Amino acid sequence: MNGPLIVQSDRTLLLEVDHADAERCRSAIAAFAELETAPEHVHTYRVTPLALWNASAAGIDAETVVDALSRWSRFPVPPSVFVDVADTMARYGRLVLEQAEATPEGSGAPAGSLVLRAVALEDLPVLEEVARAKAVAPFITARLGPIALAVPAAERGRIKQALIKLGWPCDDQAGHREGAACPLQLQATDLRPYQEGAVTSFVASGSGVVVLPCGAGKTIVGAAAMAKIGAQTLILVTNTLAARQWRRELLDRTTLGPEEIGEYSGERKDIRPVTIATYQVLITRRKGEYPHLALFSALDWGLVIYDEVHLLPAPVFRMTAEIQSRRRLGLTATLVREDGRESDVFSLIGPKRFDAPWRDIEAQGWIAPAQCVEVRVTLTADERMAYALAEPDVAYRVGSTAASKMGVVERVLARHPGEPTLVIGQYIDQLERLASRLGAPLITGKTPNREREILFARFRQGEVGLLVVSKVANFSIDLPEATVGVQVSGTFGSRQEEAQRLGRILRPKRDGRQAWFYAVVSRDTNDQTFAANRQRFLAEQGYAYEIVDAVDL
Amino acid sequence: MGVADHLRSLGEDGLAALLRERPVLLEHCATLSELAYFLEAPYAVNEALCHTNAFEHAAAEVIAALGPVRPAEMAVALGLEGDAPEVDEAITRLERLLLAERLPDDLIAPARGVTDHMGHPLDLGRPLTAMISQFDAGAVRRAAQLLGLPKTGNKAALTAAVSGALSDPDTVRRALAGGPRGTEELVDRLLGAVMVDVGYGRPPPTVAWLLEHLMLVRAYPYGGPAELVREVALARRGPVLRVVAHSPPTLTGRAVRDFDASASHRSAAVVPLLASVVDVLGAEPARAIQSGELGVRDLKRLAKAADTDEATAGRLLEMARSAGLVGTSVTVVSPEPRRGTRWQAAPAPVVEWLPTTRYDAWIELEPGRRWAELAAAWLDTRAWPSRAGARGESGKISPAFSPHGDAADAPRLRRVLLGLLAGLGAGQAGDVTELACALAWHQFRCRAWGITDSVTVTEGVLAEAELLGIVAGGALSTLGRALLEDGEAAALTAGRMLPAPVREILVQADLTAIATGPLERDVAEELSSMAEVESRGVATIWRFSESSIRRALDHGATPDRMLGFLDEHASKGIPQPLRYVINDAARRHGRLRVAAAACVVTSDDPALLAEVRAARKTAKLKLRELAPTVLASPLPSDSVLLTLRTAGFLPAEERADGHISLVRPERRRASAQGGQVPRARPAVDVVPLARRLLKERPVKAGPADGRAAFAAFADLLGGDPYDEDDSDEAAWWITEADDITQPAYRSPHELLAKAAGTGAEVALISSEGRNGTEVVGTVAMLTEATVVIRNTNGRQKAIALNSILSIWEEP
Repeated sequence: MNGPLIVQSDRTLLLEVDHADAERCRSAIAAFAELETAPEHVHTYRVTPLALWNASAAGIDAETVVDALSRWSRFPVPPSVFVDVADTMARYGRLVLEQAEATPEGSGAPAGSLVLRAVALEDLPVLEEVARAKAVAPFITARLGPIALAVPAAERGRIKQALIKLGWPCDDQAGHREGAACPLQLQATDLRPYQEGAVTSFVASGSGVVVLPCGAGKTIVGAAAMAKIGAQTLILVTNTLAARQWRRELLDRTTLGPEEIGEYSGERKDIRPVTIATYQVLITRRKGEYPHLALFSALDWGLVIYDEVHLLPAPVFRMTAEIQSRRRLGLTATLVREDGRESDVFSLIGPKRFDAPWRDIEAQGWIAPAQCVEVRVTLTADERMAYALAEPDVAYRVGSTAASKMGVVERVLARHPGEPTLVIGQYIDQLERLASRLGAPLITGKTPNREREILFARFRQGEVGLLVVSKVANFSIDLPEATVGVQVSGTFGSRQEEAQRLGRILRPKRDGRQAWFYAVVSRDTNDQTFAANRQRFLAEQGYAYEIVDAVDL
Repeated sequence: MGVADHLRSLGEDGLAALLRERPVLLEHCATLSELAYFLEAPYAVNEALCHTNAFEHAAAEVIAALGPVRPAEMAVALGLEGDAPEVDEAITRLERLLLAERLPDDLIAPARGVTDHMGHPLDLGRPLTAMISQFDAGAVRRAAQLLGLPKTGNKAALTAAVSGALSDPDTVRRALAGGPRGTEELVDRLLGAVMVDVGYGRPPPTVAWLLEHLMLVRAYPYGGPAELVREVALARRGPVLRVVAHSPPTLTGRAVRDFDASASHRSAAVVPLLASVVDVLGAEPARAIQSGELGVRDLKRLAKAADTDEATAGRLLEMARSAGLVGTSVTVVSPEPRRGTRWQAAPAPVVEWLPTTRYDAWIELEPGRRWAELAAAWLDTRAWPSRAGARGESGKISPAFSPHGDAADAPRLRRVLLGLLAGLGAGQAGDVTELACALAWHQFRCRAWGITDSVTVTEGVLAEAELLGIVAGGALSTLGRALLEDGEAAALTAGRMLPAPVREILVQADLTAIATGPLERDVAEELSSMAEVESRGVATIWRFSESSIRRALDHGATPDRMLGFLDEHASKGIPQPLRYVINDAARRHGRLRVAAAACVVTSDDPALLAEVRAARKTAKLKLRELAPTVLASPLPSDSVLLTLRTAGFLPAEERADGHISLVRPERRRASAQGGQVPRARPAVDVVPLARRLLKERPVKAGPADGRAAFAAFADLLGGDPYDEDDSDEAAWWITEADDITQPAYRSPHELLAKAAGTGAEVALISSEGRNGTEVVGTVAMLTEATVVIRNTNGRQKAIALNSILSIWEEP
């Protein structure tokens, strides 16, 4: 007994990364445990019910999980963990949702119903239990046999949601519609091995989520999936810029022509065989209705791609519940949602089909290694006083936009002359002052899309070396050559935002240069307190982290 | 033969065997006469019966009901063949327990005292001769006449004659046939019940007939319960009187996978878990509730702090108490006398549960020995650990350390159960119901069955054993087997199986420290002083934060000492952010200073003070500026400190001499003896004792014998002979109480009488209400037991004098 793993009774797994067997152990446990934190010495995984069901969906049985735990564990595994694993995994797939072969005459089930069936006669109590649950009972239209119930096809998503809430996730074998054909091919691009793996396991299973870090090429995974399926595709992205970028990538990397790709956003409403729509336009409400809901049935989509699944807004979940007969591919950097709706992702988009830990991909050289530095700025007496006397609701703003930061940002930039740099902030007036002081272009939410695109293009081509951007930079714009990020103010320490910002500068560098991420914080203010949360997140993700005083730069 | 003679006839080996078999006798063998006297007491007879199994018990009943009796007759009564060897074995065993004796002519008789104290053997009433005082000579003469016997002779002779007639089944059958219709059926119905209520007034003809024939005898002359005489019952019941299995029920085993791995996990987990519960208790002792127990609120607090549930925390606490790791401390707190107080009731002593000095020694032991001591204490404890923290029938959680929890049989029941599991073979688990049945057969009669049942006991014992790793998945572990052998073997086995403690930790940039195994206590304590435990298990995770470092600084740590400690134990070095955070907190720590005396908040930094004053969270401190660098608050320093910390500052407390005050957590301990739960007695070498007892010369009943008898009697009155003598504690308590009684003692009545005379206003506190009720006014009326106080509004209130806690005169 000298394994790299320690199994705690609270179902966390501690993996000692310097152990000789650490990597073999990691690949064994990654299938059924979610990586929670990955600091330098000990990585923490958690065995959650969803993680176990993800494993069950991937065909892994409880025996394999128990064996993996016993094999790699350094100490005897708490017996309760084994019991929990077996019990939890046994709950998946006891019920199956499938197409009715033929609706028996006189059963009362409307034509085209789906069948919710217990897998075996022993599972009848499970079926009876869920059939009596308040959340499921209204969907049942008829009894088709001793262990089969008829349910309306339209309620497929809601039934799956209800079942997972009851703790009996069903195996959705009702299949998918092929959708209208839309043949396309990838241009001669070599898929990286992990991208290949992600596409293969998605196509084999129909619907599900692929987890890849920012910069690891999620778009290309999406394009490859489209090529394999060859059907009309609806792509849902976070905002217009991301939509344009998808369009550009698809044009560059596939045989699709400009006339085949439509944009459905606040500005344009084109519906083409491949349509890229923003979440924003889908969730726009007019008189309590969602006027753009029809998009989902506008064409016979054979595939729906959800970009940044962890940001999927609640109304889109509801819409997704309606289109369960279409193939769905979720792309994300993390399954963790700030709102805790991970189970909706599982039941409505599908189980996790592929996952690659950030650090592994980084080690393979696909994303730049990053060094994080927190720079603490000592405020002047006047600034301290201004902060001290500020009302609590503006104290954070006063602290984080202190003028002393200006000089520090200049000193940080002086450390990286000639390197493409982004200065990122929350407060517009602070960014405006910075931009004019640094003589750099500024991009905020007010900047027209056209102008933004021009600026980003010039940045990519190296004509502009420094950009000052507000939180519009957080999502899905591609700034491949940024090697330095400087954050001057943030939103109260959200871990998700931190991942996004870091993602900006983690795109692969042509020459393998080191990426730098600086956070400039005001000492002894709540800016520093919030920075501590972000530090924890980054350190947990395994990034080198350092705290320095501004004077020591 | 008297009991003393019988004991002497046993010889040295026989007497030693008896003492070994029944350890309770060790408490009563100052002299052989005392032992003899005690053996006849009801307590001793019951105690002896507790050592019998179901079959032996039935045999004892047969002997008590029919004795003197031949073994062959016994076998028949027990439903066996006449020469069944089981019967002879049972007789030998009963003889060894002094419950039966062999008379000449192969007759077996109950030992002295057994017949009197056995109650109703075989559910039979008493023989007619034993009920002679319940009827008069006329009644027995009439019965003799009705049964066709000669009606001459005195009452005793007539009773013997009637008894003889009723013992003959034919006579009884003939007589019953002559009774009113239904008499026979009535008698047969009564066979299963000892007593029957015949009511008052004129009984129905069948009952009247039975009473007349002295087949049924009333307890009182005019009605109420009546008893079916034993002779009739035996005549009607036939030869077989009780059928009991003469061997225990067979058990089926179920193979358990990895039982030793589970057990070793549990045994490794239980010691730190118990230590964390006891440590929480040490940090804040639990005040005993009125009954002396550790209340549910404290139980919940301990469970929460140790990250476990109440049932587990309750079990652990009971085990800790059994091992002498937790005990009580009694303090008498003199109340602060109020100004002008003239009389005050003696305050109730404060009883607190807290770790003992023994705990400090125990925690330093090596892990295997620590576990073995705990497990041995559990095996022998006379408490039921599973009762504490469990939900009772009412759904309420039971408190821990219940004084009603003492169960003398518990150690024996535990050993029998574990023995049954051992008999199943390695890695074989038993079925709870089967085990419970077997337990009930082996321990047919024990006091525990009066308050619980064998299934509850079995479940409780198994759950406790699982917690300790003695049993895993229902199977006895290797550790458990070693424990049943002896403590030393258990300690060695546990030492081999438990993970070795480590001294090294991994410190990471996300400000966590991880011990990848059980951490040595001194390292763990030091680490806990500067970081919070975030996750417990075999591995422990600590998290550093500004507040945890601040706490360490408050306790006197310096950044150099903290970093030095981490340098020594962090095997992969200290990450830069942690080094920075510690130094930064030290830099900020103490920039604000709080003086307790005047409660002044000072700082060299006026902006910081301005920030303090402006902060919304400090408004309640009513801070005012004394100088740009000094603020003052009317509130006590501790609440000022707390509020400032809550508001996010890092103040330090300053002593009057200008230095920063260092707060160390106080460590309190109970004496190792305080509040101990009795344990099964340690093994005594009984052979020399038996030799000494037999050396005594036989004496006729005399003064010495009388004293011994008195001592034995006193023991009986004292209830539980196991109880330690707590007279020392009582004496100490009286002294303390005397100390606080003021010399010029005047009773409340006197004081109130004086106030009534002068018309002065008095104030008093009576024990009504939760915290006492205060009443102020003049005395309107005063009796021996009550006083009526009229307040300024003219309202009157009557108060019982015995409820008054204190009286003082209003100025």
